[in-house]
Amino acid sequence: MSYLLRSLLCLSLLLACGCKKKQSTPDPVQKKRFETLRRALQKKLGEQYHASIPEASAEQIRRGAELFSQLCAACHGSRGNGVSNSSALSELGAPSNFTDPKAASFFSDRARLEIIKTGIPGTAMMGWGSILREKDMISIYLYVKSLINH
Amino acid sequence: MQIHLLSIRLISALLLLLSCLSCNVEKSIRGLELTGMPLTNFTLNDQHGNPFILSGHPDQASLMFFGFTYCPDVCPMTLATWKKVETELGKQSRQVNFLYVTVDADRDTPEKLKAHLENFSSSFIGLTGAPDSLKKVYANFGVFREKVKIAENDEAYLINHTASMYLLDKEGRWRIKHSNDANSEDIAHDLKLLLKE
Repeated sequence: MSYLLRSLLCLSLLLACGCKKKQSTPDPVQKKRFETLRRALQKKLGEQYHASIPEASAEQIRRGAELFSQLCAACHGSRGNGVSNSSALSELGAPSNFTDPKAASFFSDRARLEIIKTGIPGTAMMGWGSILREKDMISIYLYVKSLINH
Repeated sequence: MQIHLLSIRLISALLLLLSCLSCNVEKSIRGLELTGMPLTNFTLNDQHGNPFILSGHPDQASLMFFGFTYCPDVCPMTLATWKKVETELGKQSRQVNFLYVTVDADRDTPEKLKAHLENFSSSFIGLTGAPDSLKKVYANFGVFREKVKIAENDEAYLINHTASMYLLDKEGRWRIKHSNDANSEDIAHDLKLLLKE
């Protein structure tokens, strides 16, 4: 009798709890995507790949911060640390963490600006080159660059 | 000893009851259920340039959202959630129209919609059309839109817009509404219920 009761108790608990493990995109997928993108950008930009971008003025940082909060923060986090509001979005490819110096140095300055312009195919990162002017995209990039180690 | 045994029986019975209740919850709609909504039909153009007539898909339920490809927040998040919904539905996803209606027809050309949606799923349907056709669809679903400029050039703007998800049954009747932060399990669950009808 007690065996039956224990079985019923276990069965009830099993039925009451229905837990599912969440899956996340493994880092190697992102790494491979970025390596492919870096090669493509090196080919596309040629010698310009390593071209420097002038130091930011205070006004550019201010403007960049304003545009970042409107266009980038939802995915990259309000602090640019890659913490998205959406776990589903992260599964397409974790948004970049702009505060991480190692991640920031994976692409050149010029390549990162190009990513802002054209986006990253296969991810939610869209390109802004069709609607923003060059100076606004540079402002966004200079602000993003200023987030390293913050 | 008898009291102890009685307690165990009572607890077991209670847990069984709770389990049955949770089973019943599984059969109920998780979004906001709407009753008495009229049948909807519309004709717009998809991202391939083909007309899309809702009533031309009688065996399919629909999941609708109004967004735009330059949307930096809620729209890509919704599309990412849809991707999970599609996965969770498995083969049943073929019975669902994932309809992404643009609120920015000026910039969302069919080509732009196609390129954008392919980042999420090639089976998602991007819809655009003539301003009057789109306005009627917005009105049917109570969609609000408002341009917000972000820079001095004309093309640099965002659009504040209604960001709910609309679930339509196989007849084209708007039956369930989900908020934009709904999780994929709940949306897939409700779509399965609509497909069972």
